Amino acid sequence: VAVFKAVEIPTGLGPGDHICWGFDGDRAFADAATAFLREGVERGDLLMYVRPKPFADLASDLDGLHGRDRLIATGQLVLQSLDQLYAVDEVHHEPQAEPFRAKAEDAVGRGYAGLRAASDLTQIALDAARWSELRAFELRADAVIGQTPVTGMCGYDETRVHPDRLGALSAVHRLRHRRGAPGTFAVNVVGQVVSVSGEVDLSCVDDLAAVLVAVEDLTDGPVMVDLHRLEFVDVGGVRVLARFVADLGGAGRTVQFRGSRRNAQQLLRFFDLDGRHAT
Amino acid sequence: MTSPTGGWQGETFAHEAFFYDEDAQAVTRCVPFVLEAFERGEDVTVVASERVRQALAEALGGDVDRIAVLDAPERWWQGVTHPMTWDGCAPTSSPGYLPTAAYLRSVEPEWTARPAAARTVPVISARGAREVATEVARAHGANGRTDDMVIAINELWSPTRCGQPARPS
Repeated sequence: VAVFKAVEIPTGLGPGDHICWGFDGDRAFADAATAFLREGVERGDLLMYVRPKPFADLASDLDGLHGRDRLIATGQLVLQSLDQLYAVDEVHHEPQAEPFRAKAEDAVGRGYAGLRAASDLTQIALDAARWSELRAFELRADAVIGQTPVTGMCGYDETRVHPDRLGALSAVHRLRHRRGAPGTFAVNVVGQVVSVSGEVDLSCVDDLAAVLVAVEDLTDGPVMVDLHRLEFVDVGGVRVLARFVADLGGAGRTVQFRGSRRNAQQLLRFFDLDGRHAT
Repeated sequence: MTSPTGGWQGETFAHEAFFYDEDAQAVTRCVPFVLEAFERGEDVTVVASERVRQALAEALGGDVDRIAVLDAPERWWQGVTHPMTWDGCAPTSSPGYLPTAAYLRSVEPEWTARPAAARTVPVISARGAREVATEVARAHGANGRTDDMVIAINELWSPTRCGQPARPS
């Protein structure tokens, strides 16, 4: 099973799919979202379209969606501005992914097959003050989508978001549509278990470091890092893991590793991390 | 009994300085060191004065022929890496001195032509280099050390990318 998949078109997606959709300009996302939501109509999903725009402009984006006005009128298509949906939680100071779970369960309770959401998150990715929360949100969303009947499309305008941020954002999506390279590794978090999969080398160690900072914020207490789908890691990658261990250790938290292949085991030994390998 | 090389197991670099007053002490220290190397199948280089070489030869008997290099310091250490030398009375310029870069070039093996059957694969990423290394290791065998070969190729590639942007900005 591939750890992530590069996707060419915005259709053929279903519940559990969480795609990072890189696009080029405003209209490109509207077109991709239209095709994505059209498939949701056919599947009987509750549809959400989210961008930092007023209602009329959101509707205009979806001119190509057959029956758009009827879908809006019946409540099957919900148009929301970005700030409405991704309001910062006052307690956690982070946008919460849990509402997606509740919306999906509510949608199923109302007879829909699931929830299908297309969100343009470019504006949050451009905001330095919200960069940290966005990574944590995407990790949470990935976990929620993996467990609920949600199909999620997260749009990022590649002409505006810096490639360094796109690299980290790609890494927290199982499906990727990128104008540039789709990346070589993936990170996902379920409870206290962090899985790092694919290949990590010098070209993407900064992306891994950026994602692990979000993991630190997202988890509490001891963390288990599952490496068994990590096909390759170089010295730079293990150095990032060592820094993660040290950072959590500084906060009195422990990190253990499991499932590492021979290549990773050798390098963990160089950093005196082999003793942290669970048997 | 303590090993002639102490706790050294041949896995890391060891560099011992041994001081002696008499040639016999040098022989007493060196013979077990040399014999242990023979047992391990390691090549041995001995650079010593003629007296010490003779004493060693007597102690080792026929085994002395197993020493790969047995030579005198004045022949072996050609002074090429030291700009100054001692002429017996005072420091003087070393006639054979080579600047470090020139010396390193002089001891590099000569480049040889690429074998006609060799395959050339252009790679533009570390991942691409690893894929080629994996393919070659699997096709030709790597004595069960494909992982080692792949990481070696990766590490050779990585420094070439240092100082360059990882991605277009």
